[in-house]
Amino acid sequence: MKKVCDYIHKDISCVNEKSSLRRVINTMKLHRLSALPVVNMLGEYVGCISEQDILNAAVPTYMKSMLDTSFMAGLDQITIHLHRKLDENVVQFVDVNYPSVSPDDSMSYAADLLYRLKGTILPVVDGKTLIGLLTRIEILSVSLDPTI
Amino acid sequence: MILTVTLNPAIDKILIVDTFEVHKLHRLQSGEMSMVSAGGKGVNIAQLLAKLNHEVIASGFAGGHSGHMLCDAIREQGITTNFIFTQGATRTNISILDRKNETLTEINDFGQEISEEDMRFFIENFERLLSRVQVIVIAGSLPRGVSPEIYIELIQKARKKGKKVIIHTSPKHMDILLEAQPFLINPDMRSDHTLFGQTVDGVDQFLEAGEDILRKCPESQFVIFTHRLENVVAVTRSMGYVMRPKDMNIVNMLGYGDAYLGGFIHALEQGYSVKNTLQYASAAGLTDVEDIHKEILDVSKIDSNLYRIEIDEIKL
Repeated sequence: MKKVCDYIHKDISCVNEKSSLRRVINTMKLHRLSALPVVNMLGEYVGCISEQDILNAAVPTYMKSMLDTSFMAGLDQITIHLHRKLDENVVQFVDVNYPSVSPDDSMSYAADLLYRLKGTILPVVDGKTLIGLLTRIEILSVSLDPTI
Repeated sequence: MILTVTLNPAIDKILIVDTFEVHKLHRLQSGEMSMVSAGGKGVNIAQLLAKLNHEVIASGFAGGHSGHMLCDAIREQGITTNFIFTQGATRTNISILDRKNETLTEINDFGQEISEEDMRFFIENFERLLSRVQVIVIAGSLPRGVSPEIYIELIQKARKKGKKVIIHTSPKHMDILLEAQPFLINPDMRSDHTLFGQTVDGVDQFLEAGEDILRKCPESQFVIFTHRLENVVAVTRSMGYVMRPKDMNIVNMLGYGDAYLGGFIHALEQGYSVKNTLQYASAAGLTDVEDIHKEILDVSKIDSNLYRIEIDEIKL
């Protein structure tokens, strides 16, 4: 059985609950990640924040009710709204129900979870401690293994 | 688990040529070599420790395409990466080893400039990591924009949690280190031979300087002068030690100090006695300089070189 620990991407880049939205966007951009794990001050995993979470928060509330119609949010309306939120604490945008996997989980379980989530990363957590990530490419890499 | 801090890491580009001349186009010939690897003192130490089967987290600052290259290369060794990416790019350090004339030419770039806000983020991250590690190594130069007082903050935070800090940095920061009081001080005296404004060289002066530093740092346990390979001097609270490698055949000095500290930490973690720890560290340094590569490729050679390290013990 292929295990998460055999394919883990051992990078523990993350943001903490006190980080600002500015820090999160900058970290995503510079680390080339579309989602980031969030940890508390003890280093325990608390959830994830994705580009999509930020975009959702960027659309002003009054516009959300119009999304079902043919109304399209203008880029200015989104960016100006987001710009005002840049120094706000990230905790309000974090998906605290975002699941994680443990190093002993099977890659089949991780693949199924990531597919259902339609997410881009899966944090790997040992106990409560973040020890790395799985991204979609790690899941796809299993297929490259010649022993399959 | 061991944490390495490399605030100013680099991509090391090493060229090994038969004869190096300025003002000349060199095309590498067969037998000559060009190597690119992750570098910076803390990174080199992390790589040796990983080869010796330790769990290691490598941290510091990185940036740009070269920063991603650096992290990829480190992870390939099985090391966990936790670098803060900032604007600007990870620097490239160039070393040219001339085999015929036995010269080494090095050009080290400045590296990224670190903003205060990035430094704050790094420190928050560092504090969180402390609960996961036993030993912290802070090694290498300071990036632009970072004041040496950062050593006090990092070392004191680690000490408060009962962690051992090993530091390798320029002797010009010794005043700061006296305040920070790390577990082990290893001044980088390859190009600066002064301590507190005075030239320090030779076994007697090293022993005296080590004793003086430990008197001023009640929390520190070791001062080690490694840059004179033929006479490495270590000072503890009760003893002085002089390590002399026998029949040393130096091929490439690059990475010597990092191999020494990596060996020291490995032996310390294995619970070796002080004498055996220092012997293992010197054997790691010796193994490194006798190979053309920057790093030790076969760590079992360290054990087979142990008998070549003679140790004089001096009661202080």
